[in-house]
Amino acid sequence: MNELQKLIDYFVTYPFVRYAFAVGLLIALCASLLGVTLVLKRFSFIGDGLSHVAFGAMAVAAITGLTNKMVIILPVTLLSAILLLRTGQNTKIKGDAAIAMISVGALAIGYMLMNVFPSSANVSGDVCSTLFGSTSILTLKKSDVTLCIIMAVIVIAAFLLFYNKIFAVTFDENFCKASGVNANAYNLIIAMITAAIIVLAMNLVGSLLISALIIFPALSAMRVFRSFRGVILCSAVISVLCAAVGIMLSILFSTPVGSTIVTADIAVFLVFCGISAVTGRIRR
Amino acid sequence: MKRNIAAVFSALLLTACGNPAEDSMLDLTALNQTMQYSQVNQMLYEPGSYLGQTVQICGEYYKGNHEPIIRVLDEQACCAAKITIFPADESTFDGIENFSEITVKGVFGTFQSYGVDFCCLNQTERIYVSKTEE
Amino acid sequence: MSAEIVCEKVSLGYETGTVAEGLDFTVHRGDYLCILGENGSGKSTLVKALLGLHPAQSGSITRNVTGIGYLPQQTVVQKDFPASVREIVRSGCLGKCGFRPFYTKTECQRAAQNMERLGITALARRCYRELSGGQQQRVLLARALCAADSMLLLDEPVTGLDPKAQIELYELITKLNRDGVTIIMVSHDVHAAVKYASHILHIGGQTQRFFGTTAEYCGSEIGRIFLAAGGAEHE
Repeated sequence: MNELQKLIDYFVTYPFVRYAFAVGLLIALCASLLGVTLVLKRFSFIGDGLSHVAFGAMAVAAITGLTNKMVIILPVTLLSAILLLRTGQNTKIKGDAAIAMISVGALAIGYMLMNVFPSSANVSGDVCSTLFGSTSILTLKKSDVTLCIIMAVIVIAAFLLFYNKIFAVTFDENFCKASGVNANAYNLIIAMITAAIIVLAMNLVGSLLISALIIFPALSAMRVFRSFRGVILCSAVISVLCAAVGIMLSILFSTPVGSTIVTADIAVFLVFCGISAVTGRIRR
Repeated sequence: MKRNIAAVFSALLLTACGNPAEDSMLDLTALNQTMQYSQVNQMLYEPGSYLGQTVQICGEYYKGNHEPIIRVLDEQACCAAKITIFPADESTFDGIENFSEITVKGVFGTFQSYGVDFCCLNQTERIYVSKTEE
Repeated sequence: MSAEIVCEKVSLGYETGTVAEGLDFTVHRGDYLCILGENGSGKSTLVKALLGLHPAQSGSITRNVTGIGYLPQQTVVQKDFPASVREIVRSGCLGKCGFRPFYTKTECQRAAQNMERLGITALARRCYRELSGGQQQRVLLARALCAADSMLLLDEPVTGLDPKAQIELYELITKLNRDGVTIIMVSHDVHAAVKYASHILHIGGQTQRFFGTTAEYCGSEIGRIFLAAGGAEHE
C-alpha cells in the first residue's frame, strides 16, 4: 500500500509519469487490436521486421540532421509495411524470407550508419534506448503525447469503422474478393495502421519488444475466448493492464520499462494457458 | 481511499498538469535513479515551470573545456542528462575529480550560449551527504 | 429458363500459358452443374473466372446474376480461427454493406434465417474451430447463402469429410437446389456428381471434354471411362 501511495504521489507530482501512462496505455491498446489480426494472418513477426526498418530509417534521418525525423521514418516504414503485407495472408515462404531479410538488413545498416556518421555523443545509448526502450517512455515531451493521442484516436476509429471488414478479410480473403469486398484496400489499411503503430511504439518499448506487445495479448486471449469479438476485447484489456502494471513497477523499482511490460504479458499468457488447460479438462 | 483517488484524477483533468511543489525545495535525490533521470530530462525539455526553483540533484561531476556540468544517468547507465552548474562562489568545485559523484543544490535557470538556450543551476552549493554502503 | 451464366469459347490461363480452352457452356436457373476433372485441369482457374476474379484470355463470360455465393476450399488459418458461427455467417452480408460499419437488422435476420435453413442455429455462439468438418462446411454454406441466395459456387465442398458427413452435405445441397438455388459444384467425385447433378461439365487435357445433362454424360464415352475408373478406385 505504501508503494501505491508513492505511485499516486508521483502521478500527481511529476508530469512525465502522467505522460508515460497516457502514451503507454494508448499504444498498448492499439497494438493489441492490430495484434489479433496480424497473428491470425501469420504475420506475427512483422512487428520486429518493421521496427528494424524504422530503426534503419531513423539512422538515415539522424545523418541528414533533420529535427523532425518522422518525415523520413514514417514514409519508409509505411512503404515497407505495404510491400510486406500486401500479399494478404502469409502463405508463401517467400513472404517469410522477405521479412527476415529486410529486418536484419535494416538493423545492420542502421547500426553501421549510426557508428560511421555519429550524430550524437552517445551512439550506444541511442541504440540501446531505441532497440530496448530503457527509459524512452519516461522522457516524453508534451508534443509526443499529443501526437500519440491523435494517432491512437485515428487508429481506434479506423478499427471500429472497419471492424467487420477486418474480420472478414482476416478470416477468408478469397471469399471477400468473391463477394465484392475490396480485400486489397482493407489489407492496405491494415498495413498502414500497423506501420503507424510500430513507429509510435518504438518510443514505448523499443524495437525489439514491439513484437511481444503485438503478439502476447492476442495469443493469451485466443487461449480462452472463442469469438473474434471476445478475443479482441480480452486482448485489449490484457494489453492495457499489463502496460499499466509494467510502467508502475518499473517506476517504483527502477527496472527497464519495456522488459517489465513484456514480463507482465508473459505472466498473463502463462496464466491463460493454465486456465485453458483446466477448462479444457473440465469440458471433457 | 477511492474517493481520494477520484478527487485527484478529476483535479488533474481540470487543471492539466500539476507540478512539483513550488514552495519548498525540489529534492530529486530522494527519488530512485530512473525517476531522477526522467525528472531532470523533463526539466530540460520544459524548463518554463521550474525556473527559479531550488533543486537538489545527485550525479556525476564533469568539467571539460566549458562550464562544469552535472550528469544524471538513468538506471542502466545508458543515457545521461546534463545540467551546467554555476558555482555559488569561486572555490565551490575546487578539487573535485571528473566523474566523481556529488550532490548539489542550486536555483534552476537558463543561460544562452552561441544563441542556444541551455539549462543550468545558479548559485550552486555542494551538499555533503553521508552515504551508507550497501 | 433464364440463362444465368453463359461461357462462349472461353480460354483461360496465366502469363505462363493457357490452362484450359474451348470452354463453352450455359448454366440456367435452377440447374445443378457439376464440374469434373483431374487436378491441374484448370478447375480452380475456371472458378475464379466465373466469380469475376480472373479475366478470360479469350472468349466471353456473361453473368446475369446479382451475385454468386462462394464456398471456397478451406485454408489453414480458418481451422484455428477464434470466431463464432454467427460472426462468420454474418460476414457473408458484407458485400452489400459498402462503407457502412455495422450490419442492419435485415442482414442479421437473413443470417439467422440461413442458419435455420441449414440446421445450425443451435451452434450460433459456438466457436468455429470446435465444430466437426461437416458442421464447419454448413457454416460456410450459410455464409455463402447470405452473400447471394440465388446461385452458389462450391469448390470441392466434401473434401476431408467422413462418408456420413459427405452424404449429409450432398443431401443438404440437393435440398437447396430443389428450393430454387442454382448450384455449380467443383468435384473429384464422379459417382456423387452423377447421382446428384443435373448437368456435367468435364474438363481434361486443357480443354472441355464434355458438357451436357447427366444422362448424356453416362451415355458418353468419356463418361463411361470415368465412371469405370472411379468405380475401380473405390474398390
